[in-house]
Amino acid sequence: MIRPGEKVLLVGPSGVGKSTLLHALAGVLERRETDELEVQQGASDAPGGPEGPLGELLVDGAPAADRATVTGLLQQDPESGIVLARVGDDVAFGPENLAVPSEQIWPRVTETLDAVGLAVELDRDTEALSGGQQQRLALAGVTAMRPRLLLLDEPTANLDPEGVRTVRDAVEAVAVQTGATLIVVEHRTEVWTDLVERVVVLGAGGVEHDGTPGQVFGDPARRRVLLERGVWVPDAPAPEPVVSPATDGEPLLRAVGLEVSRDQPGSRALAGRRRLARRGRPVPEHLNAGTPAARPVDLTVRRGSATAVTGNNGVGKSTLALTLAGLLVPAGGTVEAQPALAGDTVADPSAWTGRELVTRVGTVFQEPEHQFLTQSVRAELAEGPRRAGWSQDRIDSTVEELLQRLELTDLAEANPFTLSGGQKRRLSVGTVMAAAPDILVLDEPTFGQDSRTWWSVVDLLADQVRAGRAVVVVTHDRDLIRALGAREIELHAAPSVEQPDAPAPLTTRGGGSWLERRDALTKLACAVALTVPLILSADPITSGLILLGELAALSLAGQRPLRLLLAAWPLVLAALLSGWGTALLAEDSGPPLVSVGPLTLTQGSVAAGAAISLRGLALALPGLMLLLTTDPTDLADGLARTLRLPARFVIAALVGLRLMSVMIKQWQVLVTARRARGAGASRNPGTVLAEWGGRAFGLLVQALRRATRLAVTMEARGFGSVVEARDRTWARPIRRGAADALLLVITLALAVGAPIASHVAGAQRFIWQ
Amino acid sequence: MTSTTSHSPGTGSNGSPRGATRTGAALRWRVVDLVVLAVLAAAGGVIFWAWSNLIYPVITGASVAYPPAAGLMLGGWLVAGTLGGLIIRKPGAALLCELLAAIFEGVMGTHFGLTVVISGIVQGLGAELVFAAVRYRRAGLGVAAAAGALSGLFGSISECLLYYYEWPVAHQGVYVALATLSGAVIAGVAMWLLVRALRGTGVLSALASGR
Repeated sequence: MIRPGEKVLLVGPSGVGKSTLLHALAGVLERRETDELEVQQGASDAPGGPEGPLGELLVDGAPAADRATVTGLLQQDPESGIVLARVGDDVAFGPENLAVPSEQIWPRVTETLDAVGLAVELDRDTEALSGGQQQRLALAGVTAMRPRLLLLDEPTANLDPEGVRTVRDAVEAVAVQTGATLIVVEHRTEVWTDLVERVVVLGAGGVEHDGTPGQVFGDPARRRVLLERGVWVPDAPAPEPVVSPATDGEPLLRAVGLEVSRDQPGSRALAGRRRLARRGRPVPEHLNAGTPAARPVDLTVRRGSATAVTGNNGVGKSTLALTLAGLLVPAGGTVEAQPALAGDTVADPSAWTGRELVTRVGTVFQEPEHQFLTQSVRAELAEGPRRAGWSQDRIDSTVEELLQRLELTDLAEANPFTLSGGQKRRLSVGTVMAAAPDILVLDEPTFGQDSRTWWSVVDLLADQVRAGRAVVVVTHDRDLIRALGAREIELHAAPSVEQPDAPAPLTTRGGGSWLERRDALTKLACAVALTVPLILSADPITSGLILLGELAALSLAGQRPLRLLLAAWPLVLAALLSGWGTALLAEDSGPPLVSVGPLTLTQGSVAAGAAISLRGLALALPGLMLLLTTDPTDLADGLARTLRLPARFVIAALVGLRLMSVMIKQWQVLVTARRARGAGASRNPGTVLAEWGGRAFGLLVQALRRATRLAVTMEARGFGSVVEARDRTWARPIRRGAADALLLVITLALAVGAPIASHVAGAQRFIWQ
Repeated sequence: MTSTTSHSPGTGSNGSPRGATRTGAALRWRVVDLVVLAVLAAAGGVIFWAWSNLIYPVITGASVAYPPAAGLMLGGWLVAGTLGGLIIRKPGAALLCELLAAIFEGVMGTHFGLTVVISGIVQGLGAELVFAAVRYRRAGLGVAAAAGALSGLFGSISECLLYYYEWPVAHQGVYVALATLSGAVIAGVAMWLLVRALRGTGVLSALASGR
């Protein structure tokens, strides 16, 4: 039983059902799942006492699933808490779904953004925010609904210390302002102990402890039990170093004056660079990466040592690690493998083949799923050794040993994607250890882990150091640095680079070209109006006139028509080729031009082909123009409000589109992450194709996972369930003016005029004529 | 989800027997179905776009001597319909997914322009009819291949009317036959394999196809 206004921290081992309970309280579970949950939690959470065998979950005296009370749910992954592409729209999404009158929405939005301390423009791209900012935005999206119950599911687990602090402060501000009841689930309890007044410990059998933070965390025996279960208790002493690294180990890798940059050369330039480096030739400047993010670094990685790369967010820590690991090329300076590491190959790690790489440097990415290549845990562990060319016996014994070491023996045949967060983390470390590389590079290996996974990762790494290998970690985690006895390299931003926290330049969404400022639905109507005569007519004059009109419109959109056509060359080529097909197959008429064997091109068939090409180009441009000048959110508004298309479907389509563009941006990360496992270095066409398929599959899996989480967020924000979708309000006004009417009139004139002009010229031809 | 049904235990909404409500619920669209459909359509749109702009010129270039052979690659433009039908398993999923993917492709820019919307409806309808015929209950290899094939049949006939109207009827016939085969293999069998692999990762567990 939780009283109104109470602030509760909910802790317990992974898998005990904390998240499920929050989802149930938010009313976003399905009936089937709610029943199962009530069996477990009914006795402890039902204020009215258990009713029948199931018990009840009541919020404000009504079943949680009825959603009678506005509840706000914040999930762990910041990306899953954001629904729309612009900051203001995203905060307005919840109030819209609750049918708050639109004139009240914007004051609420600004007020809420103030409360969470997010001072950015309302039309800022939500993708351009840092993790901490995104999580505060998600909190604002929840708060704007004025919830009486605020449910936070590990809100800081994926954030760096700076982000953790800002999100915690924002939660406090919101809780104080609204007086909402607060339930937080989190492994890292010290963040919340001074904010909450009550701590509830869940175990397999239900509530195990319930009291003030002092009562629950004060008892030494209870602290020990909690720690064993993976809960971080506050004020625990920092762990003692578990290894004493060597300082005079044999040097493996040396970086001199190393500058790094995310701005990497294109794939062709990279291949050329690799070829030069493998022949031992000097690499010309233009094949290096772009403007360096951080000041130059000198460092030596030695056997039996640990190195920690630290520094502010966005300063390039991960980029430095990936450059050391040979996965990115430097912007300046050198990375050289010493003979002890390089062995019989070249000294430049970025020129190594997949096989050379996996046996020398193993890189673990922050997101384990980026690096999974196979369908089972066992195959995943065998992959590195297999690429290294080991014998089957050696592979088998290594894999068995690792499975035990990682406590994954029971899951050997499981699909890696189905593991829990902690298991995935252990597996990803294990997969790169398998081929016994001398250097392990890990990006934030302890982010968001409970204390059990934390210790298992630390133990794995300490073992590597003891065995005479070198460990390089990118981290914010002071305890990890201390436990590994790591030498710290602090990275500083290059003087020329602006600080990542400085406000980014304003986006130009409000302004833009004449065409960009026009109403979205009007532009769609124009595109359709131009497409209809093109579909129906098959003569070059109609197509040509409309094409000319489109090119003029492109200039209005601030595009250079010629440059656009060059950039869209595949489209032009496709249009030409379809013309060619027709020229070959169309009935021969008129004087023959070319005749080679069965191939006959006549004047008539070539003219038909040219007409088809022209028509294809003219057909392609309206869609492109719409894409270049229209914000999808505005188009969705128009479709749902003016055309009355089902709002649920239109908004879901909008969200899907945004999600996919987010995922496509991750393509390059995926390429790099898989290369770290030795994939994608082969030039064999079959292997290249398989690798592309593997990446696309990985991307799809993650997109679907995100979609599922985002659906929970949308539902928690009242989407399509609290009020009927057709009754929701819309925060953005639709403005249609004289200029929009003018655009429509001109377009219609062209759409009607072109076939008429063609008819007058005697060339007009209906498509099936 | 649950919020639209009565919560009192033991009875479904409107006092109807629980079993009947469950069957109805199995075919009702939830938020997660909508969002997953949109993501699949967006992925399909990217595939369509790549097919139109990267693969189509190559294949058409290779088939210059005999253009109807290009029917063999029509299947690539049909994957969203069968994928949506196989994963979501709700009325309209195949049609909507193929249509939405085509719209996404259209705005990304292809030489087919907004005519892709027509293609999307026609192709999606082909796949949808097959899923509807098995009442959205089965999604095996045979159903997948049939959905792909019918989608290809519908799609290629519409293309003959929209793009290849200058071709003699015999060539059009070959085109339709090859496109139907392509649909069965690329949009049918290959998508069935993809869904099987996706199910293995657990990401479909919130959907009808993952249970």
